[in-house]
Amino acid sequence: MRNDNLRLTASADAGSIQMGMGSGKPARRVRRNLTVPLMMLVPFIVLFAAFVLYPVINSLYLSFTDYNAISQPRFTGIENYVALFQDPRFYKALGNTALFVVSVVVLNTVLGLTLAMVFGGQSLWDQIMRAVFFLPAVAGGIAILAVWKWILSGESYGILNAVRETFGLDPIVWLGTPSLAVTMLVVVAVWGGMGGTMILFVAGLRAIPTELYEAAAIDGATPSQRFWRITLPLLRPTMLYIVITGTIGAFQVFNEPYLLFGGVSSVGGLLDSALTLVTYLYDRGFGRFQLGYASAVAWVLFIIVFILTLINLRVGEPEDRASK
Amino acid sequence: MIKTATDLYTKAHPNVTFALQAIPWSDAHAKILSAAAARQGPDIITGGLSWGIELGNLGGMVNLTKDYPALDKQVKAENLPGILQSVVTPDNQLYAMPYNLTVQMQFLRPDLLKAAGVNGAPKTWNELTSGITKLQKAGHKGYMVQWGSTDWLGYFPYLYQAGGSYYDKACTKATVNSPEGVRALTFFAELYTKYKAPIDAANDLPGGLDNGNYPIGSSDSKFNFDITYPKMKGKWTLAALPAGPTGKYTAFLGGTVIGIMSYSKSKDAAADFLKSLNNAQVSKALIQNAFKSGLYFIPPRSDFAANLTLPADQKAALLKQLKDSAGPPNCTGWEASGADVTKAIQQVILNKADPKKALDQAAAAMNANLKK
Repeated sequence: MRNDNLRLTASADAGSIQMGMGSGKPARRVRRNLTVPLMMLVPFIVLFAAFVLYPVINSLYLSFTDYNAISQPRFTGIENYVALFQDPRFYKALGNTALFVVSVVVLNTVLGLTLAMVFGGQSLWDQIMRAVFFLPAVAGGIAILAVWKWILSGESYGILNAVRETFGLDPIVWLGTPSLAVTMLVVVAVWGGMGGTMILFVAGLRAIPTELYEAAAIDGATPSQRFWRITLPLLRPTMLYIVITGTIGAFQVFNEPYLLFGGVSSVGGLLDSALTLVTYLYDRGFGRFQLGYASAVAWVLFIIVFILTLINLRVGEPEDRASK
Repeated sequence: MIKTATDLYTKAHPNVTFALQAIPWSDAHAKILSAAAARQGPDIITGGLSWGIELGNLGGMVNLTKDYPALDKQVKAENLPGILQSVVTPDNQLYAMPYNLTVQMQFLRPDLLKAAGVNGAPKTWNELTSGITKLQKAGHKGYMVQWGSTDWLGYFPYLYQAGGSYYDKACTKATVNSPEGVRALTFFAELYTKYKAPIDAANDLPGGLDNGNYPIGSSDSKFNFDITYPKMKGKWTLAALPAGPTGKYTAFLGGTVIGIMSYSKSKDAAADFLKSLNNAQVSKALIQNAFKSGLYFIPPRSDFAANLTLPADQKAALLKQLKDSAGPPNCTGWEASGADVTKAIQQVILNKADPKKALDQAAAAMNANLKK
């Protein structure tokens, strides 16, 4: 109700401004009214066109060419896409990325929400714990990965193996065992991401009116019922934001696989066990000069992320709006 | 390191100035490609051995054979043959000249070997495997491949020592799946499966030598552990790689090349600087300054390499290894094919795939890349 009033007021204000602008013909009035705002938008539009729009459109064109960055691009039609869908390394990268995305998004959301529920209060202890869990999100990415490389070293001086050895267990080659590669990527990503997710959930939880919980408690609702019937539904917008941005971010994962698993001739680790779509794109584009092919990978990645975002938005819509 | 050479050049040519920029190895390839594509950036670059041919074929580098024939002639006459075959195209064009070298060698802890009953550095494949067994019986972990572990680069010396090669001499077809290639891969894989060489993305040989876990291993020759691991001073040494069934002890020869970007507006001055690197005095200064930093600068000429300041046994071993060493193939598509060979190697080591079948698949991919 309050929103409707606001919209009406704004509309009336705009009307009054237009009325005061003079008595010229409507088309000329509109032109005159738009000139200043458009002029103010020019710097943004120029930068956006030069650094976002043009590269994006150009990459779409390049995806239909054979291009090595130095010679002129040669138009090849859908050849890159045909080759891509016949390329086993692409499917390996796609499979690894899908597993990574699902695991990271689910774990980040669940653990972030759990941490927010546990440490969402105002006590000093809660504030310290929130800072502790948020630290990985603000620490430098590359430096942190160098530390992880040390933690996960297959030798006995690797921190994780040193701990295992104190319990009499044999060392594990964490980064050299193909079946563990995606798991290691997920561990590193979730460790670095759940603190940020927790902060978003804390903000979401604080926006829920306490009266709802009080009324539910008076009506005899159990803590579990309050969580499922009040907390989760009202956290839907926060959850939607976290899942969508998390999905996009996870699909774009590069630093972790590149720095933890990259080798002399392969960016994907042993048997491409840690190859992801973006590292594969980088390998083809900047390792092998196949920028047309790399652009095709980028567009396939874009389409996948776009479709998943649409699905997320649809699933996350409030039930009343979805049913209309 | 190159500042030593530019300082000397500037002293003799005060009108020339240099702006040096160091790029991390992991980013260098992409950055130089971007510079070539944008046709602006450095006049001179140093990079991987194969980058000269790769960028030259794309039109990104000056053809030294065509534009500076005197320099081309000097490089081809004086540089080590093993390195020349990697930087000269099959039709004899030179786009970038060798700048420095690094070669695979054995790194050893003679004290630990002796205590385990191993009589000096292994000289054959059999001596290597029996030595590893003795070391493991004495409580050590054994042998480590640091440079090129489970990779085409680690497999390279065994392939050549067995009498094989990646391609035929004319670069018309892949030969990695020859009986020699299969024999080499079988042996290389056994180092991991039977003799438990560590499989890790970041093997640490100096650490392994220092703590005694790995009293023997192979790596590239650019490190002087006397400076980087002072506790090991006098306890470690170098040796040429063990010989294969053909008697050859070939090692992979790596290093960097230096060349002029095709868009440079100072090509003649750049070529003159490149020429100055073939000067004995410049080479000696590079060797000495690198040594102070705990690194070996190995010039691409064996007469200059003789100036290396090393203990006599290490120097003799290094010069011996340089005589039997070879760089990466210069055939079209090799840059893309390395990953296919690596995949075959890893399938044999990790999935116990049949070496012949795995190498047949790699050869098919290499042949397809040859035609591109």
